[in-house]
Amino acid sequence: MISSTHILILSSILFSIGLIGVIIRRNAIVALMCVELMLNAGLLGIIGSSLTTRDPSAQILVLFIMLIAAAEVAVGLAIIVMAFQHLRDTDLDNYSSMKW
Amino acid sequence: MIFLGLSAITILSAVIMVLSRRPIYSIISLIVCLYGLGGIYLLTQSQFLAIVHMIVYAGAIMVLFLFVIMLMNLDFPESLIRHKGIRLGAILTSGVIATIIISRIDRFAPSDAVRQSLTVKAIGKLMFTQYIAVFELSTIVFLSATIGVILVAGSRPVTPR
Amino acid sequence: MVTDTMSSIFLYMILFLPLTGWLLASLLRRTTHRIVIWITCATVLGSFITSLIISPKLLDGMVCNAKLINWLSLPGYRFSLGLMADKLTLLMMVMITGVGFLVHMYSIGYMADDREKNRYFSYLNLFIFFMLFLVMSDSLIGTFIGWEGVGLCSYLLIGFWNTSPANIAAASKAFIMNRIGDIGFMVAMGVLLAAISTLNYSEIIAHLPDLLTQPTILFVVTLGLIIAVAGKSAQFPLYTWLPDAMAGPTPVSALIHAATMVTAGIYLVSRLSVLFYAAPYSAINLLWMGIATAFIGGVAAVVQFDLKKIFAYSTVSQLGLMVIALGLGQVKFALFHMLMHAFFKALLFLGSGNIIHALHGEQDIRNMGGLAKSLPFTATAMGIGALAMMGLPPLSGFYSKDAILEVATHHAGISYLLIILSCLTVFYLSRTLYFVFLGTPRMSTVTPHEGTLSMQIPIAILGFLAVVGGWITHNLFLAPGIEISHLQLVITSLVIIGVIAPMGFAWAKRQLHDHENSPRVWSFFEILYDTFAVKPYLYLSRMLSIHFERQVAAAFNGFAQIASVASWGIVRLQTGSIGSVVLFMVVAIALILLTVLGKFI
Repeated sequence: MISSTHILILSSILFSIGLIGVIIRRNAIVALMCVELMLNAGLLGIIGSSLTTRDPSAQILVLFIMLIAAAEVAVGLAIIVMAFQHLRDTDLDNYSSMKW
Repeated sequence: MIFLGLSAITILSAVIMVLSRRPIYSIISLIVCLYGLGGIYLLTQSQFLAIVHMIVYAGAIMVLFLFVIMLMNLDFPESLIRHKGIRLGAILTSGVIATIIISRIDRFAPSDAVRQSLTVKAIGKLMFTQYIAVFELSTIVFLSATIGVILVAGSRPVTPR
Repeated sequence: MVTDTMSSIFLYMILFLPLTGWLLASLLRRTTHRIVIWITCATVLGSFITSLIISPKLLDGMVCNAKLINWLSLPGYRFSLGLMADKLTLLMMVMITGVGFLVHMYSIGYMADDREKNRYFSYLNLFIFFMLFLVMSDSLIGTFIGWEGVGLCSYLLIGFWNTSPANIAAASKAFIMNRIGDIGFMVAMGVLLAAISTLNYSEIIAHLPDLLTQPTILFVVTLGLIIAVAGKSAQFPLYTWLPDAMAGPTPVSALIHAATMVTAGIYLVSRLSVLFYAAPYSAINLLWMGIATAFIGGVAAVVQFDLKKIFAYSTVSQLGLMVIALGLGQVKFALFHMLMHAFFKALLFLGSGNIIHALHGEQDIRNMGGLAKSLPFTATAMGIGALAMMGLPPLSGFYSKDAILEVATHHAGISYLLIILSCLTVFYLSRTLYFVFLGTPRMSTVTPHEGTLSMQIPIAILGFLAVVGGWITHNLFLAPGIEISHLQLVITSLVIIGVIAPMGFAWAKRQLHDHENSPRVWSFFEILYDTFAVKPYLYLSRMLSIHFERQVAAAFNGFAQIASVASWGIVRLQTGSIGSVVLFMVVAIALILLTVLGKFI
């Protein structure tokens, strides 16, 4: 039987992998995917922590976060598409015209 | 045992996602990773969540990524990384964070106790009674996201001045 | 403390009418301009009328309260937002909504040709809402929300014509300079919370005995607030954003950067004046900050050629004067001068708006001249405004300025400083008037014409107030206990105006001649003034610029050198690559985790 400890360990490992990806990848879409992975690791963490109490609120919380994540992905992808149309490039380091 | 296998699949595909040079491979491995996560949700007996996760997340959202890459022709290989120091730093800090959390895991995961299955019915009941306001609010979030996407992506590309 | 329903309804109305106007204006952005203009003007007017309705109650000394929301509850702390109105609030409310309405009305004509009128009017309404929230809140936290909100609106309106990079740079500059001040505000709030765990004004004042036992805390709190005041009210180290803020439309300069937003600092000090006078060194800090500001503003105004920048520097100078009054412990006089300043400076700004409008955007006073003939109404109005500001009895500026002067006579050196300051004021104003209205026309454009009726009515009202405002209201501010030796002051100001104004004219004429390289025709008086006033002044400024400014510049360059050497290592970290930025953030998070989760393994 799995315990919450196992799930939390898995969650933190996934989180770190996602974090490495966000930092080292230059492609904007892949970076966004890595953010998604980190988010999912967080959700897994919530589920893992709620295993002992079985509080259904945890699952509801995860569901709502998923909803928001879906909206966020849609907006994020739209921005990336827009930026790609502007610059013909998905390299994050070249998105620097907003930097001041 | 199943858990260990699923974890291995998840972690492995996550690593592949980070390391593969072509975005399309990254997406495919992320989908595998998310299905593995769905399996783990099933193991924790959160059936409804597992189903939603697989359909919405691994299905719809990832297909969105796939569509964007394929329709916009974004699938070109990329030289993986910039500076060596940053790569090293990233791996080190992430490792440190994971180690910190894992080493203090007892703070987050108290000893196991009763475990009963959570039915879809229970979740649905809760969502449409206690959390109805949040539910409605999230629809507004969606609406504004839709409008935002239309505004951002629907406008004609402007040539940079 | 009174919380009867009627007055709370009035308070809600005053606060939320402009917000409603903003909401409607934003939602109806695509509709015709007329609807939006009507809505925004009507809501601000409604707000003004409501504050007039509630005024007799507040003037009697009643304090009205109204609840808004419990914003945040933490163990030990409760942040609730509420409204409070007393005499001070009333003064601010009437000034904000009154001047706000006049500026709205003026803008109808001024912005007639602009395609984005709806955006403009909705921003104006949002500004008025935040400004009202700033003055009506019953706690520092609410004031801070309004404080940030007016900063945002100021940013949006300075950069309203967002196609020019210069305007955007000016807007960013204003925003960033204000943020520096905001840090002071936040530090003050944090220290106060730690010390007495409340930010409510009445509770802060009730806790004063506790605070008095901890002078260090009191000092830090007031110092933070003084930095905040320096940012928002354009005081000495942080004043540089205000002249640049003139990139916005002229009515905005009149409303935000002359009459209302920049007086938020004066309001803050007045609201917590007991704190400032109880804290060690705070009053004297205020005093010196005000003196430095007043002089820098006055001197800078003398050499400017941009019409709006002259008035911007003069605003800086007058704000300095208000802070001087605060530093001298005279809250009422500072507020009195603030109200009078709102009248005459708004008048001057709207008048210069008329000129800029008539000359199709020309702002350089060297390209004006002789406008008194073609714009007689504007010339009269601005003449009145300038005279009021110079302090000609019995116009409005006389009462307030001379009240401050009168107090200053008890502090030996300061009164002389103030008299020099008045001379400076008279000097640059008369110079500006000469440049703009007298002499021969130097415009390249077609014949200028007066603005529409909607532009003239607000000017007329403000002109009327600039004339009689001081006489009407001085009883409210000048307590009967304080005697003002009128005769002496009348003579002083008459002499100052009589002597300095011709000097200003003479100097303007001289500058013009230099400008045009035409042969000079000197009258006797001109020669007199030239020898005894203009030349010494020029000599003095040249000396100052050679000996003083170079030293100062060298000192500042030294600082810059030190800073750049010190920051060399940090600059190397700033690669601009997103990966490295995220990495630093993550390193910081890892450190936080390490501290929070205690010992490692």
